[in-house]
Amino acid sequence: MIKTILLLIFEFMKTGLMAVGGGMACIRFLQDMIARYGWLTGEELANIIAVAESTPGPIGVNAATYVGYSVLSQYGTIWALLGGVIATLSLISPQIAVIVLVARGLEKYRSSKLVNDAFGALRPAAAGLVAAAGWSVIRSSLSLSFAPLHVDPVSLVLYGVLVALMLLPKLKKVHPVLFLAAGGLIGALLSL
Amino acid sequence: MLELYVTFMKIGAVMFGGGYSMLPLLIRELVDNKKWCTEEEVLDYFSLAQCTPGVIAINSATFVGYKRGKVLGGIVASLGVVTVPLLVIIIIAAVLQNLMGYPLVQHIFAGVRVAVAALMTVTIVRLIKKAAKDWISWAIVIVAFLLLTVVGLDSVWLVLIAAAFGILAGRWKRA
Repeated sequence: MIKTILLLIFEFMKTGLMAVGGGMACIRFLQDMIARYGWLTGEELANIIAVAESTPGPIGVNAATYVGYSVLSQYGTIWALLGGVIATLSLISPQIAVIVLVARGLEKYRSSKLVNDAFGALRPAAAGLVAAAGWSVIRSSLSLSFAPLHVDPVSLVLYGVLVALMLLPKLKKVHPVLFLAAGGLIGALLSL
Repeated sequence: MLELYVTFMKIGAVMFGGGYSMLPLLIRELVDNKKWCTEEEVLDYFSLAQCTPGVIAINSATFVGYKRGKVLGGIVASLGVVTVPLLVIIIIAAVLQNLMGYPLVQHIFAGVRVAVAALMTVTIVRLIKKAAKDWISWAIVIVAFLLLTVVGLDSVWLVLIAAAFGILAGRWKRA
C-alpha cells in the first residue's frame, strides 16, 4: 500500500508538472498511469470523466481526486478519502511552484524566446494530446476495435447524433451537463 | 488571507466544466466585486495560465493569489479552488461505488460515456481549429496524435520532444 501511495504522489506530481494544455491534457496522463499500473479500466476512467464534467470545479482536479479515491478504495473508505486528497495535492503542488517562479519573473517569462518557441510547438502538440485522450474514450465508449472490426451500432448512432447536435450553432449555449444527462437517459431507456 | 481563501473557494464551487468557464467568474469576483485586479490583469494571467503546465484554473488562482499575498497567497488561493470540488467528488465516488452494481446505473453510465465521447470530440475539433493555423502546426497535431496512439509514446516524452522541437525550430528560423 505504501508503494501505491508513493506511486500516486509521483504520477500526479508528474502530471501537474508536464500536462501542457489544461485539464483535458491531464486526462491523457491519467490514461497513461491507469494503463501502466492497471489501476482502473478505460471504462471506469470514462465514468470518472463524466462525473468530473458534471460536478463543480476544474475537470483536471476533479478527475485526479476521483482516480486517487478509486486507486486506494480497495484498502477501505478512510484510505480512499486520503487517496483523493493525496492525488489532488500532488497534482496542484508542482503547478503552484511553477506559477510562483513564473510570477516572479513575469516579464522575462513572457518575452523569453525560449518559452515562446517551445509553446509554438507545444500548443499544437497539446491539441494532439487531447485528441489522443478523446480517441481512447471514444474507443472504449463505442466498444470500437479494429482487426476484427467491431463497433456497438447503437452507441455509434447515439454518438453521431450527439456530436451533430453539439455542433449546431443554436445549441452552442446549451450546457454540456445536459448532453451528459440526455446520454444517460437514452442509455437507461435502451438498456445500453 | 482568509478572504482570499473564501473568494477562491466560492469560485471553485460554482465553476463547471474546467478552466475556460472560470474566466467570467474571475472577472466578476476579482474585478467587479473585490477590485483586486483590473480586467486586463485577469485576462493576462488567464492567457499565461494556458502557457504553463497543469490545470488552467489552478494556475490562474495561483497568479492572483501570488499578487495578493506572495507564495502563501498562491497556495491559499489554489487550496481554495480545490476545497469544494474535492469534497463533492469524494461524496459522489463513495455513493457511486455502492450504486454501480445495479444494472440500471450501468446502462445510464453506458449512455453517459457515449455523451462524454461526443463532448470530447467537439472540444477536440475546437481545440485543433485554434491550434492548427498553418501546415507545420497541422503536422505537429497529427504526428503527436499518431505517436501517442499508434506508437504508444508516453505523454511526458511527447511534451519534452515538442518543447525541444519548438525551441530548435525557433532557432533555425532566426538563423
